[in-house]
Amino acid sequence: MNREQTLRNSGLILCLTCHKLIRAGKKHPRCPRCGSLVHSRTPGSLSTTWALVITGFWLLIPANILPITQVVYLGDGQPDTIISGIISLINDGMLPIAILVFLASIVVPILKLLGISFLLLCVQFKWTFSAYHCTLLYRFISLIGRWSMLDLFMISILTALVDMGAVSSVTPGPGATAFATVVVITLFASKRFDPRLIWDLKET
Amino acid sequence: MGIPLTIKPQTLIGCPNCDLLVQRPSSKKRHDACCPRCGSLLVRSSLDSINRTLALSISGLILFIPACFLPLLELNIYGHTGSCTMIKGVLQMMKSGYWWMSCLVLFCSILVPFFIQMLLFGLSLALKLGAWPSLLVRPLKLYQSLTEWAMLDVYMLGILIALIKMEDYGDIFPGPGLYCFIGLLVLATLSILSFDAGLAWSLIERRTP
Repeated sequence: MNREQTLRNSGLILCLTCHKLIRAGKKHPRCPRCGSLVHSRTPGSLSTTWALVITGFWLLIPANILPITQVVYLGDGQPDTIISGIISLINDGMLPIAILVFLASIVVPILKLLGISFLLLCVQFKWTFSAYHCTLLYRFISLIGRWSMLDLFMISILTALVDMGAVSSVTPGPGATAFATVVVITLFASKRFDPRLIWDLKET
Repeated sequence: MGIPLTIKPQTLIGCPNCDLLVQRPSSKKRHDACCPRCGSLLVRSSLDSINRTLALSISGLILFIPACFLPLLELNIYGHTGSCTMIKGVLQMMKSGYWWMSCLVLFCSILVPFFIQMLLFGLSLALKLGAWPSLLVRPLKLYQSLTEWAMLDVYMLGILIALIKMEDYGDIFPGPGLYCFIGLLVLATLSILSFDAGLAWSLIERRTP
């Protein structure tokens, strides 16, 4: 099989900010066009991403155990966790919305953390899967990550909308803080991971 | 192994996701180019990028104020009424002590989309006038790092779910802010799509003395 011409074996570096090609050679090259530091591979990508992913897994526990909202309707109410909120949506006969919330608040964060861990393990232990499909997984993970903010926006809207003192009210709970942190951490994790590391496995 | 000297570096592009060196498609072709190895989008073509971005970002900025301050939804439970605006959603959470969450919502749903429209307006105006090319580097970098934090589309879905969820509890109806918000969402998405960052970078490079 003839070797594909990559930037690295052509002696070039891509500036990730402005996409200019720069000749490698100097010790700490800067992009002449936008002034960013350029690297052939993101430095410390593996260790930073591992740290973020492990933090994300830990925070999933409080995010799912602690209540994320406290709903009072006509005087009575109880705190809701993510799961109990979804179950009560199903009991109210709103199955499509329950599925949507389930996808955004449970499936997306877990899938994202598992997916990035899988990619990290691939690079760490030099497992050779189809690099094309791994990149596809990476792009999919980066694409869906922002949709887990859905629950937080919904809580913010409901908190403002249902604000009638003792009659009816919605207030956020401590689980929401943990959940918000999970979302931010997974966004940073997928940003820090350098997908070019997957393709480097093929070269060696 | 170096690149052959006969090939100019301007005719080559690199894939940020798999490090492949790709021949740049000729600029006459008006379609998107994808990486042949991993399928990532490399070049997005947009027609008349600067003028369109300018027009769309001005309209977006105009709609921003009513979308933020007019009520998105109005609710009536047995005579008790409530309404929500984007700003009130943030302030209310701040009041209950969840400052980190309210800052995050403020950042993703109001600050970042607003700054993006401002930056697109400023950048496309300056590029159109051909003025101050070297001053545009920082705003363009800021714009590129902010785009992934703009979440108006996710917020829209949040409004819809809140609307359907509260239907059983009382009378809920869309407020005037919602129509402005939908307009803003469309304009903000279109202005980001029409802005060609690659073109902006090459214009800045060419005009910098």
